[in-house]
Amino acid sequence: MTEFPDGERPVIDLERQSLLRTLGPDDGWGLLPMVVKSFLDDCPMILESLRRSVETGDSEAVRTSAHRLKGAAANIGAARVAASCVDLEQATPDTTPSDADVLARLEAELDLAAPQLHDTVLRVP
Amino acid sequence: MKVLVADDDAGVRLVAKAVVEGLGHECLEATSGDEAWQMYTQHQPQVLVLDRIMPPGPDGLQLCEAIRRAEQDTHEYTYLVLLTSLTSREDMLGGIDAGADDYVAKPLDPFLLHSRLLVARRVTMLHLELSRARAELAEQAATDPLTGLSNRLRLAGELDRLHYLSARYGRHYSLALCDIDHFKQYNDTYGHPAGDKALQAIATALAGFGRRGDGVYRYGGEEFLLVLPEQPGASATAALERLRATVEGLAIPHSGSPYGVLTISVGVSSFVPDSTTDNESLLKQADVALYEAKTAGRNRVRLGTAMAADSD
Repeated sequence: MTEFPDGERPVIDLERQSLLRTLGPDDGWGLLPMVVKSFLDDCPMILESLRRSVETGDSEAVRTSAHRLKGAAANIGAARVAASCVDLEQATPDTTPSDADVLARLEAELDLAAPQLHDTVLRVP
Repeated sequence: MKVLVADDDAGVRLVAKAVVEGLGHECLEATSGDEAWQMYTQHQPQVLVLDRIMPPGPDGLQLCEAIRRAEQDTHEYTYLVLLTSLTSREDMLGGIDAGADDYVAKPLDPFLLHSRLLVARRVTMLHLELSRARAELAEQAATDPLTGLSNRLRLAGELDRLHYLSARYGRHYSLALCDIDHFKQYNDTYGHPAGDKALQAIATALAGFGRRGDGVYRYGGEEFLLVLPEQPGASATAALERLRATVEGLAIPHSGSPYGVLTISVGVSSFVPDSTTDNESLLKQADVALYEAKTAGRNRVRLGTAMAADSD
């Protein structure tokens, strides 16, 4: 993902998604819908604990949740969501004042990716 | 192969599982460090693909260390692949140092995992062959090739264990040192091939003697040691008297013996519960008793008496 300069990174990494389509069921969609569905299922819970940790200033919990969300997002090719987790992954008590802004950007990225992701899930047989 | 995939992200597990099953392997899944450890001990997978952090329970590095420690007892080998983010290179090195064989960066690339599993198969097969060869060599090293009896290498461990258990639970046991009479003369008269045959015949008689759980060892050239658990000196001596008669009854001609056939002399010693005797001095006692049997005219059984603790 690092080869994209800021701003040029695609919302969805289509290369990653076509890779997932080659795995699993031989129906042209492969594993992709299932993996995206599991992301969408888990996402609200991770996001909720991330919000709470940012509010309470629990930097360690912020790092853990951000790390988890980054891995899950990168796995489904939600490239910009994953990238916007990186700053929160390095949260410290010093960064707490700005964490809320970073989280807002992350949520905006999630909103951008959501339509494509929901479309993909509709392919679940 | 059995492959355990341990990651708290269901999406990552789906990708890994598709690769593992696509290659015809069995895929087990764990969502936390605790669950991964429990699955590892229960299923003994050949490969473990694990995330670095998976609370609750041990993290990836602690799991690697714990598995390598456990393997020192089981002599199994699990191929450990760590899932890491590209941004944490130090973590990757730390993982390899903690016992991981390899790593794959996240997001998990199916092709890379595929290649790791091919290597894993090769490495685990090598370890399996190695541990088989090691067990076979250990067996060979502890067996006397001529008679097929255990040798002193195995005796050492088994006698220590028997002594420990007998002392702890207050049980008797007896040792019998058996020596073939005038065997050097037998070899000189009939030749070494005949001597080897005689050794084999007597070894077979000894191996067929006694009860299940008795141990028979080739102790030296023409010396054998019998280890008789749960046998007090008196009953051991009576049983060995029958053994002595059995050997005489083999009727292996020996012109250099006053009995006209090959015979054995036997020295017996006995562990009495609550005594402080160790197995070393019991072996010495049996040796002294054997010497007495020899000087008394051979072809007989002598029960040794406990030596005073300060005499040795």
